[in-house]
Formats: sequence, structure tokens, C-alpha cells
Amino acid sequence: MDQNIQSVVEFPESKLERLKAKQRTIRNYFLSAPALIVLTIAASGPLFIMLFYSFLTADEWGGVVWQGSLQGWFEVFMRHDIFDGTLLPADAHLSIFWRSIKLSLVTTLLCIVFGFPTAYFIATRPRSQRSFWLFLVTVPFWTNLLIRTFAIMQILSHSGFVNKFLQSLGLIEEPLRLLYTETAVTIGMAYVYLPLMVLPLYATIERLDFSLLEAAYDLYASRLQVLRRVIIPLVKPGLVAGSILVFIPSIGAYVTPRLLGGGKSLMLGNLIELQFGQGRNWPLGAALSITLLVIVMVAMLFYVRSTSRSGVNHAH
Amino acid sequence: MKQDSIAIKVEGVSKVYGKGESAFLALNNATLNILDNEFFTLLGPSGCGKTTLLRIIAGFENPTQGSILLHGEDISHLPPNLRSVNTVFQSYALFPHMTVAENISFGLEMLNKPKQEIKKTVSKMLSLVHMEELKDRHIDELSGGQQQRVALARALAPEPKVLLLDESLAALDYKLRKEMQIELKRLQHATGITFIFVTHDQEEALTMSDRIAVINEGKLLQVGTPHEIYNKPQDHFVASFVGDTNFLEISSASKSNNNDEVIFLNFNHDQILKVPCKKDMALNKSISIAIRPEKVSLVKDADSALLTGEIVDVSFFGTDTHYSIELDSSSGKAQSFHVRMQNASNQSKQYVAGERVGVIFKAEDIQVIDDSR
Ligand SMILES: Nc1ncnc2c1ncn2[C@@H]1O[C@H](COP(=O)(O)OP(=O)(O)OP(=O)(O)O)[C@@H](O)[C@H]1O
Ligand SMILES: [Mg+2]
Repeated sequence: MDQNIQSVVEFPESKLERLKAKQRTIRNYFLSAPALIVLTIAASGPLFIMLFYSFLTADEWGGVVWQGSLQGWFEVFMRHDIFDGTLLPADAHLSIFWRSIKLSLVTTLLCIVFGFPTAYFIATRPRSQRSFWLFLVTVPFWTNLLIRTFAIMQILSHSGFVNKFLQSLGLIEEPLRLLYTETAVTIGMAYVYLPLMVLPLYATIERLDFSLLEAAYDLYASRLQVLRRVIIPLVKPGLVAGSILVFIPSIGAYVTPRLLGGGKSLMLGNLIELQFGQGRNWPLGAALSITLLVIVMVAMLFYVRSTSRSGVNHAH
Repeated sequence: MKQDSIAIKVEGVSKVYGKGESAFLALNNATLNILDNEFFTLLGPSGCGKTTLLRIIAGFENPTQGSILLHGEDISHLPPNLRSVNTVFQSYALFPHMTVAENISFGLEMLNKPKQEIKKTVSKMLSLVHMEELKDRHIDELSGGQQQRVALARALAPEPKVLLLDESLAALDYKLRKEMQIELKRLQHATGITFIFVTHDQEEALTMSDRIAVINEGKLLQVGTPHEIYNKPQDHFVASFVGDTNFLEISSASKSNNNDEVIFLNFNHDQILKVPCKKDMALNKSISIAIRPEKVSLVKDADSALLTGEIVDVSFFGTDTHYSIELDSSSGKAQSFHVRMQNASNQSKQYVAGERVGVIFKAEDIQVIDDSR
């Protein structure tokens, strides 16, 4: 009896609520239409075009023929021997994949090694000085990437600053071959992407409760243990964000490996460019782009998993 | 444990923050002995340098001058992780990425204690602070009082020689604070560890401490038992900061001999009280005396009283009644005087506002304050 009365009383109200909610959602969709259009058309549109092109046939003079083919995807991983036509893995492509992943990981690591102390230093300055130091970190962004890369080329070149310096110290006789190596590419990328590591790390370190460090220090932790047991776990979100921000552009980098790596240290970005340019193999280029995207997504997934696991830990 | 050996010796410690123009003397030549197994309290108003002294003992700040000795050993230049001194921070500073149990075991792990022992100590600590059930919770899932307990357990687990507590109860509400006061005393008895407790709450200091040091503006003013601090304040500030006090300026005082340890104070109707005082006390200006409101009685007969005045306010507090009296003064300067009288059941006399009364007190309840100190 009681329940009946209650449901009768409640019914019209809840119906009204639901109706209002529905109106609200419709209106919300309507209001967010510009954002949705940008996201779907501007962001995923080109992506679908790429995906579509990767399944077409290459035209001999560039562009595509409107005819379905798996040749592009096949060439990402396999090749035919020039002489006897046997099927071989596309080792040139695979080594470029491997190099891209390796150099991007090393770049990320270098950015952590140099970015962490930098961010820590800035975050522990008096508040009034911090914006000055942050400004210094972003100064390289004020010049064009090409110019910065050319500057690094000058520094690393045969008669550049590094070689001159080492020679004047008498450490080496002959100039070292620094330019056009994987090392040069890594140094260049680490230099270019360092601010992307410093900024998110700075943001988390700045919010760090420094009395926790004192507490750990008070509880017999050495400085290294304070770093390992307290600081790193607490700034992990910034570390992860910075790593994503550095790794993703590194793996797709184009200008830096092109200029600092010479012909021998190509990375994925250069390989893709090659297919759309001289290679005149658009489907292969498109398939490589999608592969790059998949690698990035796998990396992202890995990061998300690692952060959400610590989140789960945190809740329980 | 030896009751009288000195746990912490603070020797002529001064602390100057900043340099040049902005230099600030936060602690001025403090000397103090804190005994083993003692509940010692640093009491003083905000900004007087309590935290500064505590941080110097913990090792977070270097003294500008002087030294800190722990059981006779100079530890002034040891970093905090090499001092057997732990701190319960005012903000608790519990590790948010660890559970309750992990927080408590942190110090033990850093000391490289064997796993088995760590486990045993942690469960002992958990039961000591009644937190067994919550050992796997994260810190943000605890109430303020529970966090307080974890902070205590974490600092006590490595069995430090001295535990420092910085305004540890200030953030708790009144009822919880009362509970934790009792809890703290119990923990101190159970562990036998020397506690150095910082507070600006004089009532808390009086109820909890074995001994109290009163600090003001970086200066250590008086060290003594709660009794001594309350009943024999040696300083104007101590008398006013700890409990309520009536200060009176007495213009007609005399000594029979300059080196005497008694002073004669003249009151109304040529009554003279003989009060003990410091031997070297000079009488070149008027002296002030302090009398606690509860040491004073009112009488109807003004002729036999030491002071006379008119009641301006009466407030009833159940067990006692507070009277505010405006004293008659020859100089015309109004001076108010507070009296607190027990409400005995057989008490027939009640005073009302506007009534003229006499004030009496005993010579032994008067504290002569030497303002020249
Ligand atoms: N790092 C510092 N630099 C400059 N001045 C400081 C510093 N730390 C403290 N002070 C000053 O020293 C004085 C004593 O500070 P302290 O923190 O010891 O006070 P406190 O007695 O603990 O006060 P509260 O009860 O408010 O905590 C204050 O005037 C404060 O402004
Ligand atoms: Mg303080």
C-alpha cells in the first residue's frame, strides 16, 4: 500500500526530471557541436584518408590509382629479392622502426635525466624567481627549429666547438666524427624536446609538499632514499606526462634526424616523407604513417596502464 | 630508565634568519636541559621561536650559535637522518602514496631492520594507537584524529631517544584534543621516550607537562614545573601568558636593608604585607606584583581590606563566580581587578554589581615581578 502511494506521488516528478535531463543533453550536444566538428573532421578525417590510401595502388608518378591493394601494407614488413624474387623481411624498414623506437626511448631518458634536476631546481627557487627560470627554459622555442638544429650542427661538426675544445685539451688528436650519427640525432632531439619534459615535471614538483621530504629525512632516509621512496612516486604523474610529450614527437621526428643524422640515421618520419616524395609510393607511406600511429598508441596504452595501476593502488 | 640524566642539552643556542638588513633574531641564547623520560613543553605565543628551536633539535636548521647535545654527545652538525630524534609534524606530513602500515614501517625500513622485526613493531605500534583495523587504508581515507595517531605511531616506531611534537593537537577539535592529550600522556608513559611538545595553549601545557619552558620573542623566560610556572611566575610575560593574573603597581614599598630577601608592601589603611623577593631587587621605581584571581577573597567590611573598590560585573560559572572590580585609586587612574570565588554550598553571601567591597589576599600568594630583568 505504502509503496504504491509513494510511486504514484513520485512518478510525475521523476518523469519531468527525465524529460529535463533529455533536453539538457540535446542542448549540450548542440552547444558542443563546433568542438565535435573540429574533433571529427579536423582530427580523425585526415587519419581516415590515410587509412584509405594505404589500401590503394600506387601510381607510377606519385599519387594513387583508385584500385584496392594490400601492396602498401605488404611492403611495410616484406620485400621481394631483386634478383630471384624470393620473399624477405623488409629489413631496411624494420631497422628504421627499431632505430626510431630506440632513439626516442633514449631521448626520453636523457630528457628525464636532465629535465628532472632542472625542474626541481626551478620549483625550489623563491616564488618570485621561478617565472624567470621558466622563461629561460622556453627561450629556445623562440627561434625556428631549423635554425636551432643548424646551430647544433655547427657545434658538433668536424671543426665545431666540441671537437675544438677536446683538441685544445689534448684529449683527442683527430676530430671526432660526431655529426651524422645516431648520437647526434639523440642529442639534438633531447635538446629540442627538453622543455616538454621540464614543464609538466615543474608543475608537479611545485605542488609537492616539501614537509614530506623532511619527514622522510627525519625518519632516517638518506638523500637518495628520499628521492627514490618519496619524491619519485609523488611526481610520477609529471614524469609520465613529460615522457609522453617527449616520446611522441621524438618517434615521429623529421627535421632533426634529417639534418643531424645524415643519410644513415633515418627515422620513421624521414621514411614516410621519402615515400610521398622521391619514393612515389603513397600507399606505403600511408601504411607507415598508420604503423607509427599504432606504435604511439601502444606506448600511450602502456603509460595509461602504468598510471592507472598506481591510481588503483592509491584507492586501495 | 635513569630519571635524572639529561636527554637533550640546549647550550646557548641562537638563530638568526636572513642576512644584513633583513636579519631576524628568532632565538636568543637559549639554554635548557631536558631530562630523560620527561614530558617537556615549549610554551609561547605565535612567532616566538618554538618551531625554530624544535627544528634545530631535529636537525632541519643549523643554530647560528650554540650547540645541541643528545645524551652528552654534540649532535649540532649531524643531519636529521643520523639523529635518534623523530618529529611529529604539525601538518602530520604523512606519505600519501603509502598505506597506514607502510607509513609506520618507513623509518624501520630506512634503519635496515630485519623484516620480521619490522612486522612485529608495526603491529605493536598499530595496537598502541588503536589503528589495527585501518592498517591498509591510505592516508586520504583517514580522519584528522586518525592521521594524528598514524603520525605518532610512525615517529615512535623507530624508538627514538627523543620525540618532538610541533603543535600536534592544534588542528583537532576541542573534544578530540582533550582525548589526544590523555592519549599522548599514556603513550609517553608506555614508551618511556622523552617528549618535547610545542604549544601556544597554556592550559594544554599546564595539564600535560612535567616541565614547561616559556618563550617570548625568542627569549627563554622561565623553565619549571607547571606549579612553579603558574604559582611563581618570575616575569611579567609569564604571569600574564599563563593563566589570568591581576597586576598591581605598588608605589610605596620598602626594604629594611638593600640586601634583604623580603620586601614590605603598603596597602590601604596602613596595612603592610611582608613578601619574599629577589635579593638584588632594586627599589628605585615602583614595583609590580601579580596575584591570581582565585587567590583573592572579597569582604563586605572595607576597613580591614587591603584594597577597596566597586563591583562592576558579576558572572556566574557554576562552580565559581567571577567578579570584576574597579579599584579606588588616589591617582584617579581606573584599575580593574578580577576575583574568582568558589561557590561553596554553605555560602550565604553573594555580591552584586555596584556594591562596594574590600579585597583581601595573603602575602604568600603575591608574586613580586622584577620588571628590570
Ligand atoms: N625560514 C625563515 N626565514 C625567516 N624568518 C623565519 C623563518 N622561519 C621562521 N622565521 C621567523 O622566526 C620567528 C619564529 O618562528 P617560529 O616558526 O619558530 O615561530 P613559532 O613559535 O613556531 O610560531 P607558531 O606558534 O606561529 O608556529 C617568526 O617571527 C618567523 O617569522
Ligand atoms: Mg610553529
